[in-house]
Amino acid sequence: MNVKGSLPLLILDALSKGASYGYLIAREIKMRSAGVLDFQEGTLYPALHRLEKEGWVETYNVKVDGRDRRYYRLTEAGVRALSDERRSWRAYVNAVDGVLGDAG
Amino acid sequence: MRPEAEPTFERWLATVIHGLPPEVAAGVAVELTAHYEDAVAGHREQGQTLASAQATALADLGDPQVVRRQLQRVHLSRGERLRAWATQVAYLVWQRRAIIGTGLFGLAALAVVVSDHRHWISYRGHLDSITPLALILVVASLVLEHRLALWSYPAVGYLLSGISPWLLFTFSDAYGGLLWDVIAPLLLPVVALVGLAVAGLRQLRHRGPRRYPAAIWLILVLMIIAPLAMTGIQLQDGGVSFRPEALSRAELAVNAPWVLYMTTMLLAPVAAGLLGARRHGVGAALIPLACHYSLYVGIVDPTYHLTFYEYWQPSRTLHAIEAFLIYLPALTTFLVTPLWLLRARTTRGRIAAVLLPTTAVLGATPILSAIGLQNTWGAYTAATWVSAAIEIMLFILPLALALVLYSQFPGPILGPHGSGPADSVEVVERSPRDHTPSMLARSP
Repeated sequence: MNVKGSLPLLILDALSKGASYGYLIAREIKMRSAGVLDFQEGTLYPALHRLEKEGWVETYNVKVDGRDRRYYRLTEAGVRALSDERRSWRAYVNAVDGVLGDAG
Repeated sequence: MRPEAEPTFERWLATVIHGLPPEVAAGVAVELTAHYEDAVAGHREQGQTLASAQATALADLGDPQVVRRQLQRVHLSRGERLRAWATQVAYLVWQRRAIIGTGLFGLAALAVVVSDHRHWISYRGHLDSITPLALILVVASLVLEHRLALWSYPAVGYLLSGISPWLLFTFSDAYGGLLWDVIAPLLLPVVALVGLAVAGLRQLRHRGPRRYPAAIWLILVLMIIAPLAMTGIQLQDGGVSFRPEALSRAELAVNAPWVLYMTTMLLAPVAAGLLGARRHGVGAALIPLACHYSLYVGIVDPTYHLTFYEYWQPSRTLHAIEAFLIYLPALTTFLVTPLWLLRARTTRGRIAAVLLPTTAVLGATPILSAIGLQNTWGAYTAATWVSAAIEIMLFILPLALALVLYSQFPGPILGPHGSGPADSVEVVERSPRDHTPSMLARSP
């Protein structure tokens, strides 16, 4: 299933458990959805950079095995945004469920 | 065959960061490289081989163009994105400059030939708006690449196809005088014979007293017998027969010099191509030769009678066939052959690109011409078809001769240097049993 529109929400949610880096975020999303939510891993980075520009995540570098690894963590604004996004998502899902329920 | 370039992470990354500001590109490169390496390590832990792990990791990263576009949307303003897009387009155009340049020249030449085809069949050669462009292309090729690059061959063929008519004495009534009545008609046979002799002697010195393939002599004999046979063909009682009188001393005295002259006319471009074949291999000489025969012979001969008849008895059908007979050789010469050639990646493919369209044109145009005239002249019956068949053979024979003759020279198929990514010549197939240097071989 394509996650195109919901990727920022999934990233924010993954980061709500603690700071992480790109590869781990991708694995986290795929693992928690049991492989149902699929996306091109390369597109994770434009999404992360967009969140950084919005001020919802911040970055810092950690040296691992002699090379820099870029970690992302939620900012205060990011935490609030995640909460808003979750609410919007639930409202959306409830609305869709309502329609499908009527139809079913 | 040239192996298709394996997709690599480096190439993927280069595409992704193209057009990004340097500091952003550096950061993205570090991040994506780490991601890729982590992914490869993860797949290896699951038991994949290195190559398989790399391929899976690369596939998981997705389409680099999509990632590039998304990154540009984040990091570049609208104006910057537009500039990056323009740079990308310019880069792609430059990478495909050979194909685009050849295609544009082909379209321009095609437009000129088709719009001014009467000029083309006037036997007076052509000096039109495309001639300077063709000259510029040839000079550019010599200056930039120090040789005739693949993309310049249609231009060479165009220029060559304009030379022969100037040297045809029989149709020089518009000129007259010593130059056109004496010098020009003598020049071509002299060039042909001297060229063949010099090249033959040089080749003999180079390769020692080895015998030339029998095919060469067979083709030469056929090139003389075929037109002589044509003079003896006649229509009798609805069938085709041969007039024995054609072999009489009196008729031979009239026909033989003419036939020999026409044969040397056909051989002249073959002889002229020997120099190119010696220096650059069979393809270098074969391509302009194919352009010449296809464009000049393919247009002029089959269309002449059509035009002549259509002039006296205007007919839409004849005019349409005439226009098609101009269009077909021009299309194959200026677009089909060069573009096929630039796309071909094997020696066999390149030879097919040169010979197949040319042969098709030389075969199709006399047949179409005969069909066009079938109901206009009573004489256009069985004898005409036999003549058309001989005519087809006459123009294909020099091409076959060139192929066999030029393949005697060692050297690359299409020149010693590549000429850019789109038309570089790097790979040549060689059969394991092909021990002698030949057209299939490439000099080290």
